[in-house]
Amino acid sequence: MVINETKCVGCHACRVACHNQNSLEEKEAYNHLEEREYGNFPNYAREFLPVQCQHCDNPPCVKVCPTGASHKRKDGVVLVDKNKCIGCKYCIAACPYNVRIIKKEGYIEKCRFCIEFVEKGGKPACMTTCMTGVRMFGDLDDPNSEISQYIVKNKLKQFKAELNTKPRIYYKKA
Amino acid sequence: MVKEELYDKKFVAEKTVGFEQLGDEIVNYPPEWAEKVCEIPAKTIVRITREITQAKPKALIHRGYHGAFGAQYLNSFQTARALAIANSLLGNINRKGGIYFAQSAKLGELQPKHPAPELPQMGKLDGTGVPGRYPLGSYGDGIAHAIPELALRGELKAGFVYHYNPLRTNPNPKRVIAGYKKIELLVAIDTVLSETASIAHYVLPESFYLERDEAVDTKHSGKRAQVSLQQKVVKPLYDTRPGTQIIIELAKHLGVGRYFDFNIEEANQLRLKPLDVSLEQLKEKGVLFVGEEWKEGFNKLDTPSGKVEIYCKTLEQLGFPSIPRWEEPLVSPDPQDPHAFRLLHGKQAIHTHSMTANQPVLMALSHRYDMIRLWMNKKRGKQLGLKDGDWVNIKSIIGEGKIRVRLTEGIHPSCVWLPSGYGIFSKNLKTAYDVGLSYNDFLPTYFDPTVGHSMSSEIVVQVNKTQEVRS
Repeated sequence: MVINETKCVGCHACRVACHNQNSLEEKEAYNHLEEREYGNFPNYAREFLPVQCQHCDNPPCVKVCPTGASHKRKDGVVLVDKNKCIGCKYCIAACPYNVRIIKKEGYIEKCRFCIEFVEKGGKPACMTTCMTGVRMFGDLDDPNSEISQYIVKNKLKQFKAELNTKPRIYYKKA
Repeated sequence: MVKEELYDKKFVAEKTVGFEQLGDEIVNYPPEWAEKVCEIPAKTIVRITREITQAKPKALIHRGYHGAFGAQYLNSFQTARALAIANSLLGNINRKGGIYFAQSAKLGELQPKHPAPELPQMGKLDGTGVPGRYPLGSYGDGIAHAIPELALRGELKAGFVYHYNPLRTNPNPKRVIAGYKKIELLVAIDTVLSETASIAHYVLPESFYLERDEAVDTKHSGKRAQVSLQQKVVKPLYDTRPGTQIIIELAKHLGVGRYFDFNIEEANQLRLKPLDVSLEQLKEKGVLFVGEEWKEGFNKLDTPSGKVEIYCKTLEQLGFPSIPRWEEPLVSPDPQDPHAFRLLHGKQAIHTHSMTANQPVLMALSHRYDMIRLWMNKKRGKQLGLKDGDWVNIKSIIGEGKIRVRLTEGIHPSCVWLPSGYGIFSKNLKTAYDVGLSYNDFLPTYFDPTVGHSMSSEIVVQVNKTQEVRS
């Protein structure tokens, strides 16, 4: 995924779309916005950074999981098998992006890139609902895909890249 | 623009009237004067003017959506005129890269198959379009916040409120409640038990937009006309009906059924008849372009002279300034008083007026992101001994309330700002009830002299630190 933060107006529609798509509880969210303010009046700026599971290639949540519930598939999506999850929350402590939640049933959940929907040809809800087109979604393993070309051309960076989690979300920042 | 002759001379000569009188008035408002009023350096004003005129006509000054150019201040009407004149000096009216006239499709009529009722031969009670009252007021929109005044005077006995919640969204709720309670028959057509619906004698519950088929719509702001259709995707969950159906069924009982002897399907077909699209096509696509491609320029404007009226004779005849003239706001906070602020208001992206206030997901968002707060400049907050998130008391001449502050660099030091979508006082809206404040709680009942608007930023408030309020 590419998140073009320069287009984000902080409307939270992606959070609500994800909420509906995944039938979440009122206070649950798989994606959230980090808001920052800069400067002194009148030279003021404000930015919104959308954050969700980064589906890392070197995922700490998978490394620490005692049961193997947290796992990375061949297609790159990181998922939690709720039948194996014991709710120990070690993965929540390990994730530097703060994007995992514990469901009241006792297992962990997070952004799934709407994978069941994507496999049938759809796109993630956070992407399709966005009125300014903040997100792109596609195949990073294909160097000729629109998204791969966009990342290379714009020299996009990853969030907390220094932690070496190797996220699969690239950001275009202001 | 005028002094350095940077304006579009050809456009001004051919498409405007009154330019010669402009110089006499604007000589009072040089950049050095403006700098004292708005704190933008004169040098910056001059620089921007030179840059924008260099780009003309592909340059425009937007009227904003919630700034000073609408219904905010005593001089908002003239500010809007000044803006229009500035744009005409840039020669950008209906030019590529400039300001376009939005195209609307001309929909078909329901008559002669279904006769149109005669409109009552009387002026509107709120005085819009009536000589001696609000001749310049918008006849189509009316002056909605005049209704409680008319009811209190005994001039208004009955009414329907549709898609509107005046008890919460009009200024000065105590007075609005008194007015609406005096109405002898008040019927509310609403999707929720809003403040207004809660005091109505009858509530006709309307289906939510997802539950109803709507009438064909064409009011858009594109360069090319569009038609659109909002369609039902779920059956109504409760005993509600679409607004259009409510009106059609009511008409029969009110003895005017002969004008409403159709269903929405037939009405939509008749509306689309003169256009090159069918109802089936529109149902499939939802939105369709119709009519001609946009063409640059214009022949005649809808003004008495057919041109841009820099000097407006209509205003002269009514005794208003015919060239925009600066007027100080009606009220301003005392700069020597550390507790005095102008109260501004606006929207945060998640709410739509008071309509969405009761949505649990949006209330959860509001709490999660601490969005139910009064914005205040950091320096002013520090002066009052405030930390970010502290409780304050706000007081104007008509109202008082408590809320937490958001200390930020993102607001002018003389102002504080409240977001809309809160301050709900309908006990029937359980999620939203008694959460936050509304700027209407602080805004007196005003009618601007020119068009009757509510002058909604003419509010000075006293802000003081207060004890924490436990909910």
